[in-house]
Amino acid sequence: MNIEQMKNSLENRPEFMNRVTAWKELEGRTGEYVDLPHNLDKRLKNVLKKKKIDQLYSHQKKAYDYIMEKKDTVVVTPTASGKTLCYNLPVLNSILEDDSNRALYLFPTKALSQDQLSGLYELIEELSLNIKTHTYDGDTQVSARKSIRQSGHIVITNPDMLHVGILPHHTKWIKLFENLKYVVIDEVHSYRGVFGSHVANVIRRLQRICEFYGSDPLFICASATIDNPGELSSKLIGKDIEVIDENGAPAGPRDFIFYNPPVVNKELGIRRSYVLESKKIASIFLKNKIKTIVFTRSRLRTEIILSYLRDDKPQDVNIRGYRGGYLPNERRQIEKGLREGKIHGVVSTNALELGVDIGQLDVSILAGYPGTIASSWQQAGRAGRGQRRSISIMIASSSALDQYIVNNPEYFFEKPAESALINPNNLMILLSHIKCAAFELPFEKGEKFGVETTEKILRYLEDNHVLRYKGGKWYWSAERYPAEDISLRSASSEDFAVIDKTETGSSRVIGRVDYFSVPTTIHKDAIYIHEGKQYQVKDLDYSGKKAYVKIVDVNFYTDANLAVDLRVLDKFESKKFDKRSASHGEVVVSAQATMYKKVKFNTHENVGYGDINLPEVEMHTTAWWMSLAEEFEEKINKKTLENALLGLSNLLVNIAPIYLMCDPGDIHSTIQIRSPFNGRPTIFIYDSYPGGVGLSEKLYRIDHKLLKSAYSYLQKCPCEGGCPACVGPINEVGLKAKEKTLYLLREVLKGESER
Amino acid sequence: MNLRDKLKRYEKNNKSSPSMKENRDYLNKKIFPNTIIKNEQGKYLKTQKIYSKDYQHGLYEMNKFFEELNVYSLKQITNTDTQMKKEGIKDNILFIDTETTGLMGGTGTVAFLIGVGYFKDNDFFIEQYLMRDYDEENAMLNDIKKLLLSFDIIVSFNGKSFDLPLIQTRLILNRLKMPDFNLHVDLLHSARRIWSFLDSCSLKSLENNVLNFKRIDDIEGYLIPSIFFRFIEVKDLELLKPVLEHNSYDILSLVTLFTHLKEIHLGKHKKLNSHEFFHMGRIKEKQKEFENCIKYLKKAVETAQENDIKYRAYKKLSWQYKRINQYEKAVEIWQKMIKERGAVIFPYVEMAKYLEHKQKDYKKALYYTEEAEKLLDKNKMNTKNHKCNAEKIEHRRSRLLKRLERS
Repeated sequence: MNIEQMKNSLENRPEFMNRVTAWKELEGRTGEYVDLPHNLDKRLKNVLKKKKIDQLYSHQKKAYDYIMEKKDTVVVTPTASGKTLCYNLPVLNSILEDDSNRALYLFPTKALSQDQLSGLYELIEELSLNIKTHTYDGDTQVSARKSIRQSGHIVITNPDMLHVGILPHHTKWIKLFENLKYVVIDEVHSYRGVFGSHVANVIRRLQRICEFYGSDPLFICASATIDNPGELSSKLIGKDIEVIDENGAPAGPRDFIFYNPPVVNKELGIRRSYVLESKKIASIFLKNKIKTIVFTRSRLRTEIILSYLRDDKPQDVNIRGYRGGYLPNERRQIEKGLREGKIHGVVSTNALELGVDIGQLDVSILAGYPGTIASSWQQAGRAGRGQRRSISIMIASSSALDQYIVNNPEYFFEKPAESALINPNNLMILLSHIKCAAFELPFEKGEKFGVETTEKILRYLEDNHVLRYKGGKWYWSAERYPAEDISLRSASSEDFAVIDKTETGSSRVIGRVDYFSVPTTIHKDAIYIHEGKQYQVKDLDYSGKKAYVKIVDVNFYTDANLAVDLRVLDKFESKKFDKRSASHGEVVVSAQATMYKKVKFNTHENVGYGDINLPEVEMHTTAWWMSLAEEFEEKINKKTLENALLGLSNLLVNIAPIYLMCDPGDIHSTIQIRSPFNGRPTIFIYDSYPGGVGLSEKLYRIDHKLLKSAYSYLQKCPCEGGCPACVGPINEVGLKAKEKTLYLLREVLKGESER
Repeated sequence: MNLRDKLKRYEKNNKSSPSMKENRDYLNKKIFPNTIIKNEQGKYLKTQKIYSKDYQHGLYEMNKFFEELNVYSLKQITNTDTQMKKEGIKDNILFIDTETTGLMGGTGTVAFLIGVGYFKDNDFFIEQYLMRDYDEENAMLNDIKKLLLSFDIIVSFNGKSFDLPLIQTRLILNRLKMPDFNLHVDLLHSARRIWSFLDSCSLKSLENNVLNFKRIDDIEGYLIPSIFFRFIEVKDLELLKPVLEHNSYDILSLVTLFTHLKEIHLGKHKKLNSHEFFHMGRIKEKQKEFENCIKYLKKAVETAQENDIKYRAYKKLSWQYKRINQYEKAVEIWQKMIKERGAVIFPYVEMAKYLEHKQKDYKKALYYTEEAEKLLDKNKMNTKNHKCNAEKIEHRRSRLLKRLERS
């Protein structure tokens, strides 16, 4: 059967069609082509022609033109639209023009850097010129580093290496910084939240150093489809940027299907395993040798689905797995097999979502909602060759986020994608990078680093004997090497190391947990999940900041109860409606973990509990809060109101990540039946990172929309009185929580609809 | 984590002028002789101390440094060929050692004290350039740059990977260009070629074990950054006195180490131990001075206290004899080795090779091969090396058997 026939066959399977909540037929489109730019170097033109590229897509040409006009540019395009050419053409062209020109490429991971390197090599080999292109990261051999520093034309690295290995040693990179013409930042959309906020500061440091050496590089960014590519990129590079978001690449028609596994336990709202369902559906295609990719949300699930599929396949069908942890050679071999069509199916984590070249497949199956709309489109986009038809199927798990999406397809299809938020001026993050920047070059009086209040921070550091002010400059004045203490992937510098002691005698650091998450994630006996493997914390050395773990094989995870106390310090903005008021501002959250539950996978049953004895942690962050009008207290008794409040806060914190484009763990909620701040019943949702990364302010702007979605979602939830996918399980929120939450939402929204 | 509060509080309390501290004068200004140097870029502190030619530091007096100081001895010490641009080597050498605000490197590390030493009119001058605060760096570096320009040869200890790159970084940050040198003699590398057998090849370890110099009341190097940070706060020069002394010792030891290396390489220092003789033999082997190589290796054997070094010397020595076709001498060594210690297969294998290929005495060769085999069996070790040896011996044995059959 071919893909068209497969489509018809699916439509004739009632057991399949009954579970489909949406079937969207997306039209294809033809490509828009334009001639190669006339001012493109002849040698480069010849290479393109040799590669059968006689014309460019319109967006590639537009990017080229903008860059030639010296405009910072961000290109927003879906998968497989030739985005690398958007930056490789101008970069190579400028090096052909002047051999001393240099470019710096940033990718979020080492694997992507490697992939980019091999792509560039292909072009450069054809040019048969000596354009030196290298990756420079932790894997680069020490013996090769010196020559890369002195003579690399294009240096490909990641933000972490730039932060800790390049900028603090900029005097060894004079040739690069004096002649830096272009900085390419690919996968810009992945620089969001804490990571993105750090990266924006690393870019500030880069610009400062370029200025010292008299260069002023142009920034070329590339992003997957998100709602605010221009805003994100311009915050990242600290200046305005041109956005190119029309796509000139051709695309075939696509059927995007949402599939919800059937409910097996109505009371608890439990559905049949999405893993098994994904396997079942993938098998239908693979048995017909239709090229299929299955995306999973963890390395563990990748392996599970792979082994299920292999047990149930015709002999001549070749299926492979792909995830982080595979050796580079193995990965290259799988990529090649996919491009050449020797491999029919691949089960992958999101490792294949980003720019790795695997050619195009026919069907993509998303085993579980990937977490964001942007990721979903990226993953779906892996299917679809040229003008051919493709099918994408999203199979929902029973989590709240998945259930929301699968039951609200219009939300998914109507909204382009989420916004990516960063807050480069988060005080903690900013302070860290001002230290690093001062280490790299002394600060001159009057110099600004991102914020107007730079001097205040410099004087604070001076007072703490980290900097010294002398002769109009602030000098780094400590023995330590600040970049080493600062990880770009977390906000606090006081991380705990998670050490695997499974094998006696050996110990290996497998992860880091930030200080504020310690009481809930690595308390003694906690199940710590890493790379799909379950570890149990055997010992927590609190003062030494180490947790010792061992691999275990159990069917539960642990969930800690936090006694949270929240105090409002400062109200930034507030608004009032008939039935509620809302604000955002600065809060201090003190959290004490008291006990933990053992929760069974998939069913979320409670199968045991234990105590946690750890000190209270305190965090300053930002929060959004909403207080109810007085009438509710008159109409509902206190206990019921508290349950409804709890139910509503659970629901909101479950759904909010969709609108904030953040991980569910990035926000937390708490309720106060009579808040000391204003005496009203109040729900708080706060950033999980010290100082906040801007999530709560965004929440403040969109809270009406959030409440509306929450209401319609809750109405549709098939459970009876509450489940983990909506207001929470009945044993926690009480029997009437769902009903009363619906009531609260209805009333609150009534007060706002007239506006 | 209440940074924001701290910042707020800071703002309230710290409106008063911090300039009170700033303008306070230095304490103990004359605790060591010094002058304040002023130039276009500003000012800094400098010390100068003159050591007469008969001043003794460790093994040698200063004037020993001049003896046979020429292109040849430089070549011996550095193991590289060198061409001199300027006339006269003696007055063209600058010894250099820095004290820094950190040991990890990177652009935020400052060389706050740059100590140099040079010879003029047979006296040895040590000059120390000290920035008393960050604003004095530029003035100091301008003069350091001028100084560097007037010398052709730099002598340092680990300067290739630490002091000089650091000075270069500081010059770049002050928009100055690093001068080129004709030759940079990093004595750490020279010392490692001879004294790698010591537990540590640090300057301090060499002083104790080789140069016969003991420091009294010396401060530990790792404390120096924190002393400097304390100094800029309290502005008391007494704090820096031990740092300057430490730095002077380093420079004096550079001279003595240089002299000692020269004496050894020229064969003038006779009282070496077996390890030193052995390593000298290796150096001479690399330099293809085979006669000297044999001389040193023989000395190593003669002076050996432990078997290990003795056998290593024997082994190398016998190869040297083999190389120049003096088989009788090589055989003599192998026989000695067999007699003195039976646990190594090396002399047996070598005897077998010699008897097979040179003497064509296959029977005797077979005897040595079988002896080697027995030895190997006795000391059975499951190593790759062992397997490889066993295969080679087996191969030789079967070949010898064939030859015996044929003859």
